[in-house]
Amino acid sequence: MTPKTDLLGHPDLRKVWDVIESNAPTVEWTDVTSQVGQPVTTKRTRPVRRTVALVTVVALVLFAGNETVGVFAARRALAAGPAVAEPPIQLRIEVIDSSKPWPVEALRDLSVNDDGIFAHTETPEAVSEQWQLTDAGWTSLGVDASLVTAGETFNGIRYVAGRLHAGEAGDTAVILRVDPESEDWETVFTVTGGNIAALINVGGQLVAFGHEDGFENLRAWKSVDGTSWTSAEVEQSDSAYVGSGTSDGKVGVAVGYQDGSIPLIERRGASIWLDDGAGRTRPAALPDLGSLGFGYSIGGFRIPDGLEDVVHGKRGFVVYTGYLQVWGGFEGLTLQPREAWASLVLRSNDGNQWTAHVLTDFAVYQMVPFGDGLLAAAALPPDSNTETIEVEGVTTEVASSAVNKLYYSDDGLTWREVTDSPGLGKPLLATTDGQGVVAIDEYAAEDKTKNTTTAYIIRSGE
Amino acid sequence: MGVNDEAIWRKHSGELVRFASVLVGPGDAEDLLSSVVMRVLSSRGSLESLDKPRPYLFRALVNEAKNHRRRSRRAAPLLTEDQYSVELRPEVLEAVMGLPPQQRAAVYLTYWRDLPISETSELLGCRPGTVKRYLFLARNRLKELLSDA
Repeated sequence: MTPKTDLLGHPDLRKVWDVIESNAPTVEWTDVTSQVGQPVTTKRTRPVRRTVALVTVVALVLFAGNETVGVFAARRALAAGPAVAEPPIQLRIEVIDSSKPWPVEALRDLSVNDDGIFAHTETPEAVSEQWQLTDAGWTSLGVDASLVTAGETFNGIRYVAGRLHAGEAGDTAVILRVDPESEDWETVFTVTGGNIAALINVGGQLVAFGHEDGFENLRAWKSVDGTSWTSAEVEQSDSAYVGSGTSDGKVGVAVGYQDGSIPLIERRGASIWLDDGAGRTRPAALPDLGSLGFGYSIGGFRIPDGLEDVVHGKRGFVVYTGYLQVWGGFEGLTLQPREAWASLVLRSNDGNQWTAHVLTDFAVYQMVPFGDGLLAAAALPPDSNTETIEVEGVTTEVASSAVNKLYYSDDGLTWREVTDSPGLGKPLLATTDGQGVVAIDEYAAEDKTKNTTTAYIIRSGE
Repeated sequence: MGVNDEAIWRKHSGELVRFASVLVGPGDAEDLLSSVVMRVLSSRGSLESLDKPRPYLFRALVNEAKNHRRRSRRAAPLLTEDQYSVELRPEVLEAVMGLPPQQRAAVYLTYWRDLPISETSELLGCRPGTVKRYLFLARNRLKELLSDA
C-alpha cells in the first residue's frame, strides 16, 4: 500500500506498518466461533478498580511531598466538583425532521446561521456534501471536496474554513466566503498543507487559528476586509496545537495543547491563547491543572492532555474537556471506574482570569450557548450507564457508550438535567439565534437500529 | 449467532486483524480479535445486532488493547526475528509500538491507511479534534524518539 500522506518524512516509519501488516495472521470465522463458550480472557470491573487503587497508592508513594498533596487535592476537587442541581429543567424539544438523506456514519458538521440550518456530510471515500434543512427536508447544496472545520460571520458575510483533500499533494486549508454579488462561494485564502481550526470575529478583524504544516507551526492569520490576509506569530507556539476557538467580540479565545519546552520540568499541557485582533496572540494564565491529578503524564505529572472546545455564553467563556480519564481511552466494552469519568471545566468572564473545576456527574460530549446559559450533551459515568451482559455464564455489567442526557446550566458549573431528553447517540449541537439549539443525531429516538437522522429544535419553556 | 455474522466477518476481518496487529503485534492479534468478537457474541448474541459493526469492533479492539497493554508487562517481542524486514531498524518499531494505543491507532489509520480524520474519529469513537490531538502528540513523541535513535 502506498499512503498519500507522509509522516515526518521518515522512511522507516512506512516500513513499520508494512512489516506489521505483512505479518498479520489470517483469522477464519471458524477460528473465532470455535472459542464461543470458552472463558473470556479478561475480567472486567474488579481488576480495573484494583488497578486504580494500585496506581493511586503508587502515585502517593512516588509523588511525595507537594505532589502527594496534589493527589489528595485532586480527590478533594472531585468530591467538591460541580454537581447536578435539582430540580430538572423542562425544555421544549420538538422533532423537526427525521429523514435520512445521507449514508449512515457520514454526518460530520452542523451549523446554523441567518440563512438556515446546514449539515455537512463526508463519506468514507471522502466525498463531501452540504445540505440545508428546508420545509421539504434536507436538500443537497452540492458536492464539494472540502471538509468544513470552522465558520464565522464577518461584516454580514458568511465565511467558512475547510480542508481540501488534494491527494498526493496533501491537504490544503481554505477560507471561503459567499460572494456578496454572485452569492457563489469564492476562495479568499489558502494555506497549502495547512489546517485551520478556528475562525473568529474579534476587534474588527477576522482571525483564523491553525497550523502552517499539518498540525505543526501554530499561526494566527488576520484580515481586516476578509480578502487580504497576513500571517501573525503566536507566543509560545512551540509544540502547540489548537483545536477550537471563539470570541466575545473583544477577545478571541483559542484552546488546545502545548508541550513544555523542558518536559521534565515544565508541564503545560492544556493551553489557552488570547487574541484581541490587533495585538499578538498570547497565552492565558491558567490555574495549576496538575493538582487535579488527571490526564496525560509528562515527567511524572498528570495533566489534562488538551482542551476540547470553547463556548461563549452570556456569563463569559467556558472551556471544557471531553472524557477526562486516568488512562485516557474510549468508552465501549470496558467498565471504567467513576474516578476516570469526568470533564474539566475552565471558566472566565473576560479571558484573563480562569478558574478550573472538575465535573464528575457526567462527561461532556458537546456544549453550546443556549438562551442565557449553556446546553450540554453528555454521557453518564459508566457505573450509572451500563447494560447487562452474560459472560462465561455469569451476568455482568459493561459500560454503555451512549451520550444519553442533555443538561442545562446558567454558569457552566451547576447543571440541571433536562427532562424528557431524546435518546441520543452521538449528537451534534448548534445554537440558532441565541434562543434555541438545533440538535441532529444519526439514531432514531427509540430504535437505534433504524439509523434515522433526527433533527430537533430545543427551546426554553415547556 | 446471526445468519449474517459470517458475511460481516468476511467483510471486515482483514482490516480488523491488521488493525489488531498494529495494536498488539501480529503474534497477539488473533487473541485480541477473538477476544473482542467472543465478547460481542456473548453479550449481544450476534455481530448483526450491532448498529455499526465496523466502528464498534475498531473501538472495542483499541479498548481491549489497552487492557492487553496493562496486563502484559512482560517484555515479549512484538515481532519475531524472522518477521523483521532487514531494512527496518528495531528502534523505529519500538518507537511506534511505544505510543499509547489510541495515538498509534490514529497514526496508523490516518497516515498509513490514509483515512480522512473524520473517518478515523468515527472508527476510534472520538471527535475529530481528539484525533488531531492524538496525531499531534504522536508526531511530537516520534520526532523526539527518532531524533535520539
